[in-house]
Amino acid sequence: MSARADGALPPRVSAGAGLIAAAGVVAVVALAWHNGLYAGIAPSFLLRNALIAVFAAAAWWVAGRYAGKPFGAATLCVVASVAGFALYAGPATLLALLLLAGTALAVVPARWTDGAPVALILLAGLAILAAAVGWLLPFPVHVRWLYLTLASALCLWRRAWIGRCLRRACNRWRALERRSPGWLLLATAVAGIAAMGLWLPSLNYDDNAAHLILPAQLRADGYYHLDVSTQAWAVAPWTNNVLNAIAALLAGGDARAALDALWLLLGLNGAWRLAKALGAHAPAALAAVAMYAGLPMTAYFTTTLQVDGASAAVLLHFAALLVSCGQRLPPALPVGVVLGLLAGLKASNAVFVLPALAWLGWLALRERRWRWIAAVVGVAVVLSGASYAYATLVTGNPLFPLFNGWFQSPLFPAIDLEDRRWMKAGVSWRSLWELTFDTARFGEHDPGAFGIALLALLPALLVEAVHRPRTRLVALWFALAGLLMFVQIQYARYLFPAVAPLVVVATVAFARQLRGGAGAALLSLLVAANLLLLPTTSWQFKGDPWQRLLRQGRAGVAAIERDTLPQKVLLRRVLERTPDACLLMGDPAAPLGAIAGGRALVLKPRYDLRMTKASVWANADASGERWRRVLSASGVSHVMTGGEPNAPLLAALAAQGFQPIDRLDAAQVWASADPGKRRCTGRVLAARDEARLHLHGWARR
Amino acid sequence: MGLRCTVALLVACGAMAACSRPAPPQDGLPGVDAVPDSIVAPAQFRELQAAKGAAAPEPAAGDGSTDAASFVVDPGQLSRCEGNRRMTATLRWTVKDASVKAVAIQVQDRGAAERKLFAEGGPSGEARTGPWVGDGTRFILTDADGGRELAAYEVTGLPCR
Repeated sequence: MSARADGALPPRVSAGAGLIAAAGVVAVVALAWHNGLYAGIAPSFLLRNALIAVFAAAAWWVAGRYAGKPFGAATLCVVASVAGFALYAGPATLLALLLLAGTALAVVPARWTDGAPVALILLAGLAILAAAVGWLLPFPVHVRWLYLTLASALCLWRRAWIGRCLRRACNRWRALERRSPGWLLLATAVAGIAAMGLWLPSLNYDDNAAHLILPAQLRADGYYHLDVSTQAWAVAPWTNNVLNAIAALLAGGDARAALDALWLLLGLNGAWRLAKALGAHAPAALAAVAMYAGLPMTAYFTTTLQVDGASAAVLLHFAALLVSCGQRLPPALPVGVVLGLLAGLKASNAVFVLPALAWLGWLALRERRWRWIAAVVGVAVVLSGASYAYATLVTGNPLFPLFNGWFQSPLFPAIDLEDRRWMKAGVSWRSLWELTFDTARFGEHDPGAFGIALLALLPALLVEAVHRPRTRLVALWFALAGLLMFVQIQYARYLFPAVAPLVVVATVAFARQLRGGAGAALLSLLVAANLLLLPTTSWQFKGDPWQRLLRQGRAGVAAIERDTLPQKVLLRRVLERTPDACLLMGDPAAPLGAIAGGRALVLKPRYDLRMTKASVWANADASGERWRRVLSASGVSHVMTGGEPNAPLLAALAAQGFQPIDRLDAAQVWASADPGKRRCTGRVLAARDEARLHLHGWARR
Repeated sequence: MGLRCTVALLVACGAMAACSRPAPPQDGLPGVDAVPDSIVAPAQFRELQAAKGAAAPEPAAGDGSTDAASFVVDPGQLSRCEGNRRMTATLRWTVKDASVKAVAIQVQDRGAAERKLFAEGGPSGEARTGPWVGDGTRFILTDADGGRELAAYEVTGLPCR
């Protein structure tokens, strides 16, 4: 692999530093093998990725023999990835991806985009879309035909502008393909493997318990109920859920992969921009892109709506923006956009921007740039404020259900909710080592899910931080932010927004300290060693679901869903047969009712405290009379249980005339024997529809 | 986007907050008031209670005695102060049923199905554990011959002051 530069190389630190950097990588890769991080990984996963590497190398060799070719090997990799996406995620999801990206580019006024990178324009467009839809969520305007019409019209209206953006991106791609074909191939091949997570259906627990409620509710009712009593996290920062809902409405079904694909692309581009801002030449910047793509968590975030991958992508662009501006204040608009996106994705992102905000605040105050401060705050508030404002309106707590000990909302217990499971590991000087080799202590992962890149590149990063002020500042920013988060909660996934930029910076450092074939070989080895740890991020990947997809084609998607989440498949069957069904998800271990769009009541106190309390009260009555009263009051048409219900619930189901009507594995659905009687009859759902209670009345007036 | 716009937005949000009068939904679910909020996060509620000044009792010996046997775990409660998660305890037992010639003491964690053998001995005796006893550790005194359960005790956690 060529390590050819596209410009003058910055001075190397020293030969000794190169040796230290190389030793770090070799030692950590060897330790990863020795500590058995690869022991539980399916042989088919390892073999398939080895084959992909062989094919990529062959494609590179063949492409190299035909000079003047229209496409390089990297382009072929991209074509293969897009084909896989179209096949497994579906053409409707691909269309949603194109429309969402096109609309995001189209809504950004041309005068804002003077010379700005396409990725920043796309970020601004996504932020504008999320804000516009977010503020309108409680109002009944969210219908598919309107979304499709508006998106198509905007794309048509701004087609010249969108075309210009695409041409700019294509020209840069072609230039890279000419100058650094090998590194570009490595980056695209690794990104292509990471993108295979997009092929999978939405299997994640949080997605199926919470994130997928919003798109389902908009598709069913045309507005968002803000029903915090049914799902306590309903008004938590929702930018990612809103963008996913837009994609779902455009696709006419679950289109998680469309949004995750955008975040993956934005993350890859963010890694590139940060590396370039740090002065990396093209091969080193592409190595940083490959390293980011190869992090196990990068691939993991293509399978879920959890927002830490999206936050990392935005932070990479934020860091690139600040680094490229040096000691000058960056323009207010992109800063406001980035801060608005981060606040809209997750409240705790404040931790990751604190050091940067301190720096920007100091610069702005020193120069007395009051209008700059007002503009940044204004843009950020408009873009991110919807969820906080509606949370305040409905619950009295803008961060509901967090910090409720302070805000005392009557809709949740007055405690500052914490997840104690991940506050036991403690913080010590060995924490990075433990995160790398003992990841299971820091989340629902196997050892290795954190990736080995940060530990392996740490010597290079430290040497670079000593010698280069710009690197030092970025490294300090994210090390401090990561540490702040880690002190609060020892959860590996939450650290990703700090780890991703650190790994990019460290890769650039390594490439400076160890050039030539040895450096290229070691970086490639580290990228591959990281990537192969992908299955450690979730129990759902241990059995190599991709092997099944490759064997069974599109049918494999449904088969994986059926085997992994039978409750979801069963719920979908209920909703297809009885579109206005409302359910009680009676298995406390599986509150996976999101696709019912708020019409599934669950028994998990952190989601639906009132229903859980009612179930606890009812379980104490062996006669089943209390359960009968709960079922009557809730008015559910169906009950899903995880197996045979407990005796009180069983008695109540019999008293209500419910009987098993469907089952899949252990999960069972109970409903009235007469299909005509399977109707929602209680007032629970209506009483919890906060949008209707608080806002539709105003609209009618 | 100027200063005026920002101020207007902040005022609008403030007004929204001031106007809202949130209340639990009138959904008519029975039994809701009969169950404490602490089912959300029991440990946090215990600490909340302690922080508000409720007395935090000192750990005392726990008595799991029955008609068949006297069975004491000392201490029978785990103080959660300073992040305390585990402790050692001493178990004392005397079986009243003369037909029991030997006993086995099993240990089970809260929510776990599996029981592990901790100690064996005669109809009366004493045993000391290692530093692994936590909130929810359950000791079961059984007849070694046949496995009949004679007495049991579950260690509970105590909030910090």
